[in-house]
Amino acid sequence: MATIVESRVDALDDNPVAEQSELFLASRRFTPEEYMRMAQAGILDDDERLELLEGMIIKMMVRKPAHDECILNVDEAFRPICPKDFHLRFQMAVALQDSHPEPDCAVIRGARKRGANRFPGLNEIELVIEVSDSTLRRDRGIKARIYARAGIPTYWILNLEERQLEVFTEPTGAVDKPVYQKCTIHKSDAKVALALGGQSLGEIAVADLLP
Amino acid sequence: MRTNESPGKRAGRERVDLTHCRRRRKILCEVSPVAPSYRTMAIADFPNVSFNLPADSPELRSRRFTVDEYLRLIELGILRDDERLELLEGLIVPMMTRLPPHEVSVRLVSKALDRLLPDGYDLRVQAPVQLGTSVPEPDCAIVVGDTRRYIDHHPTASEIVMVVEVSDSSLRVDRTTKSRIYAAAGIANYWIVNLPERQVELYSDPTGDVKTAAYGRSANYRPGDQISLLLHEHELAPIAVSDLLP
Repeated sequence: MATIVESRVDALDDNPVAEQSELFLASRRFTPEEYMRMAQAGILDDDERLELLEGMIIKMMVRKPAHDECILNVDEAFRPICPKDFHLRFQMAVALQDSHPEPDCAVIRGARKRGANRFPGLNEIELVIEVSDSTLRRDRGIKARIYARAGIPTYWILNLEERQLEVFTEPTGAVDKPVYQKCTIHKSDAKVALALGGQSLGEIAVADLLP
Repeated sequence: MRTNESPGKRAGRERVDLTHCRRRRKILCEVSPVAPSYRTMAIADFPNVSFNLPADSPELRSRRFTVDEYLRLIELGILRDDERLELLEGLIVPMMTRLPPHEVSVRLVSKALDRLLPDGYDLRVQAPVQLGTSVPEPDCAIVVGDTRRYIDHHPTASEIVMVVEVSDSSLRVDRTTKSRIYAAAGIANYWIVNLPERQVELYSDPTGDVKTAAYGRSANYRPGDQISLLLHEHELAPIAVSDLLP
């Protein structure tokens, strides 16, 4: 005889969160080319705030005022000292192996060329910065892996929650499990030495960057 | 708050050498509830950094696709014809590789059902159906009308009387996501032919809206049992469970 189970079946044995993340991780990944084609075809709308992270099309978080203020602080601190053979980009995409993230700030090698009509790519990025309030897990996790895979020499997380600057260096490059091998934490009373492409540019007070 | 103060700490600055952290990383990986490709990084790699994040700290939220967007991706060739994919609640998911027992069971189920179908119904095998924000491909589906009715569209919720999934490695998804999708569409009968446990699970009485949908009633049938199936007012001859299992 069949066993009749009268209770609702949704209580089976499974955790819906785990189930979601399992399906999500198993989902079809997209190449940067496919991602751009989708945008061109209008399937991804211009007003959607998305990033391609390791082939997954991910919604970006809503930014809070403190986040924006921190970006302005970075702009103010960097602009006067940024050498001529580098330029700054804010909240714009960079084209990496399997990802098109939009770091809050990127320091790009070379002066800005008008009409370049492309995203900065591998070997063109000296430093990326993420301002992290609600995105800390994402920034220390998948973003760090993406930037380490791309071999971006330095990655900063401005951690607003803990009021500190986390400096990640020595990326492994495109290995099986890319990581930054060194992490230095600068609390809000510290100063951080800034160097771009081997040129020392002096020190920035962490407090000047935090909102 | 930091765990493990580094000995090199001075004046608000500390340097962490991560090459000595492999053991800790491994342990943290095992307990982390985060999914595999993500977990090795987020928590484990920087053990001297505080990771006491709130439990509900936002994870990655994927951009989901509508059925129209999904069909356009196929039309544009961004998703290729030779890819075996399903749209499940807006996520595009590759289907599992099917093993021989699965194929045998699909054939057994389709033969058993095809033989019993009354006039006015058709059987579709491993063909897509279109439901809400999903385009799954059940192993079998009993639909209303004749074959040519579906020349210009995939069967939709009101046209489907029953779906069957033959489950080996897909059991978890079949019992959770797929069950929710079929229940939300109001499909009256959902069978899982559970190969690892050698039983047929019958789900009926779908209830709830898109988020809470579930089948209200389930019954497990084992070899030796007979299943009787009611399609609208048609009662079909009993089907032996042993005829469905490979």
